[in-house]
Amino acid sequence: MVDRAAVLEAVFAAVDQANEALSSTDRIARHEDERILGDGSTLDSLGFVSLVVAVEGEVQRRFGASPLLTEAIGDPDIPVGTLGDLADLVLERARGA
Amino acid sequence: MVTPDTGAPARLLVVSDFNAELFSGIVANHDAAPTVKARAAGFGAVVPVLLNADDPAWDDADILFAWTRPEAVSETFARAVQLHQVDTKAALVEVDAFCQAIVAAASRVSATLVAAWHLPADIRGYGLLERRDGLGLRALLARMNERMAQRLAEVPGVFVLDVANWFECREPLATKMWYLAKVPYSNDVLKAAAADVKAAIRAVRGQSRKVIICDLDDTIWGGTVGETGPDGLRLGGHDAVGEAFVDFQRELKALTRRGVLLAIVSKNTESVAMEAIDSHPEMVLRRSDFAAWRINWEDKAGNIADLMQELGLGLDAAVFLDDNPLERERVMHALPEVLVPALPPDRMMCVTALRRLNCFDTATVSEEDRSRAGLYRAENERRAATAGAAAVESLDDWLDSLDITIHIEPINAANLERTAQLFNKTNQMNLRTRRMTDRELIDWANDPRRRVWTFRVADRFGDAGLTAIASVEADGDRASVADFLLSCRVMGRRVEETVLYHLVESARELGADSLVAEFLPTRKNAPCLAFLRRSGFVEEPEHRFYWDLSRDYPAPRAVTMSGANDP
Repeated sequence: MVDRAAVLEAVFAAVDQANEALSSTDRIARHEDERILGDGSTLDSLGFVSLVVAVEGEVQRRFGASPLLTEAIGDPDIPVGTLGDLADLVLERARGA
Repeated sequence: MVTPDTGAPARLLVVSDFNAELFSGIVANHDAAPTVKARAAGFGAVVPVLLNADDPAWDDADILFAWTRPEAVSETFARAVQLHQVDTKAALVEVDAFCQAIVAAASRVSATLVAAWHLPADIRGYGLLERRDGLGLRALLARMNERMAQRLAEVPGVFVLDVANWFECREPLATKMWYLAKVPYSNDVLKAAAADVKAAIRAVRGQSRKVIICDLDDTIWGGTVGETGPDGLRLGGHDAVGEAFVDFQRELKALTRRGVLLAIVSKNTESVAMEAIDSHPEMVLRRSDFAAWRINWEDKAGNIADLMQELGLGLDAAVFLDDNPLERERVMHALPEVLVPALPPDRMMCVTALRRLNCFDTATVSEEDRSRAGLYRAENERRAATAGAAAVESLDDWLDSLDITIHIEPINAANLERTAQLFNKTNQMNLRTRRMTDRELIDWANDPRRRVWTFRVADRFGDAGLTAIASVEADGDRASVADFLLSCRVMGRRVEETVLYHLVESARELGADSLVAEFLPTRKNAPCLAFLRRSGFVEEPEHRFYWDLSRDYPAPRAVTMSGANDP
């Protein structure tokens, strides 16, 4: 069973990948309350997409599961404002699979 | 591996048919020198951006990087990818059109980098028949790449980058990023491209490394020569590690053919180490392959600083290879300008680490580069002759005995590459330390009020090649020296005075009645100031040197001039 801490580590590894292309002022902090969408987020749409795709890749590599986040992200009923929300979404989809 | 930053930021414009924003971010964040400020032009309009000089994308750009997918440049290739039968000639015509756009764009920047085309591995095309001419996609792409390389080969300041190594990662493609954001490649590919682009920028700026300083024991051979003697070393033979050390030496030797100098800094007894170098039957590198050495029991950092001074090069030209992490740490700490790559503990992997160094890339490879080690050897012999010249009455008598000849000619297409190379890497004997690309240099010279001269120096010990450049610019009855620079290899042989003599003659020919050389100090060009102060030119005020052209400047007696001064 995948636990939340392990998923959060995968999300943070994806953060490191996304940060490779971000300027020092726009980088994402490795913290579950870090905002990645909406007010308080420094990410533009490309940065956000790049982060979500990187999370998918990390989850696939670490847990062998494909959470298909990029399809879920477009759903207005699935709010993803912080890195913690993103980790919760991964867990939810892993358990639902 | 971090290359210390020693230059101004490069302003890179990325022109691409795909979304290059992530690449721009990655190249800007890449930790190797130089600092890059990257900007991606709006993607999907490659040729219009290249052709339109008024496009705001060009504002403040000094280097262009054009990275395209072949199907975006060639409609014929796009059809070929769909396995239509296509005409190779039509694809080559489209390549020509793309190259014309590159040439037009290249005139707006100091250097242009063009990525060669690559076909991702997931496109199988015709499988078994992929390399069949007239059918396979890869066969067609090879023709297109060859055509592009031919078309751009002679264009000053334009370089086609080989991209094959960018895709040698586990996951080169970013398929989801393509559909979501039109980014076709993974971060690993973008990072490999960023490393190569930075290496290219260093090369065009003349900031490549020029010397490899090697440790000996467990670096170029296995074992400790002081303990085992030459016969006990692991080098060659029927031994995997011994073979790897031989390959490591071969790789070092190959680098000398690109103009890289080899040197030794090792804690050893010199006579013991040299016996191994001279006599071990499997040694690839011999004494004559090394431009200089410090083999003693002193601190390696101090030895490196001393050795680089002997070679007349700055510390930022050096790479230090040592198997011992403590010695590497010491040099990194004491001499941060020196590049100290980590060598893997597995000796069989060291040759791979050496091959992957991208710090030796240069924008040109001249005959002087290929024979540089020989030039330094000749210099060593010359020094030995100086040391043995105690019986000679004066320096000029000794210089007379060298049979120095200097061939002077204006800058031209034949000497442009070497001229630009010397122009951009000379620091010590340099009046103003201007930096210009070959294109900028030839453009600057193409003004009737200006003269740019090159000087080839030879003596009885050998031909030092094109080793000095001088330029003069006239403004009414006053002329000024725009450039006065010499390779440190020929300093102190009356070449300096010969160049000044020629500048005086050149300024007169331009109709001037006075010549001024204004010295711009840098951290490194104190030798130039010292020469000017003993040159006979009048210094008034400080750093401004003046010659009244009604007076002759004496031609050095030890030098025979030819070329521009031929009757």
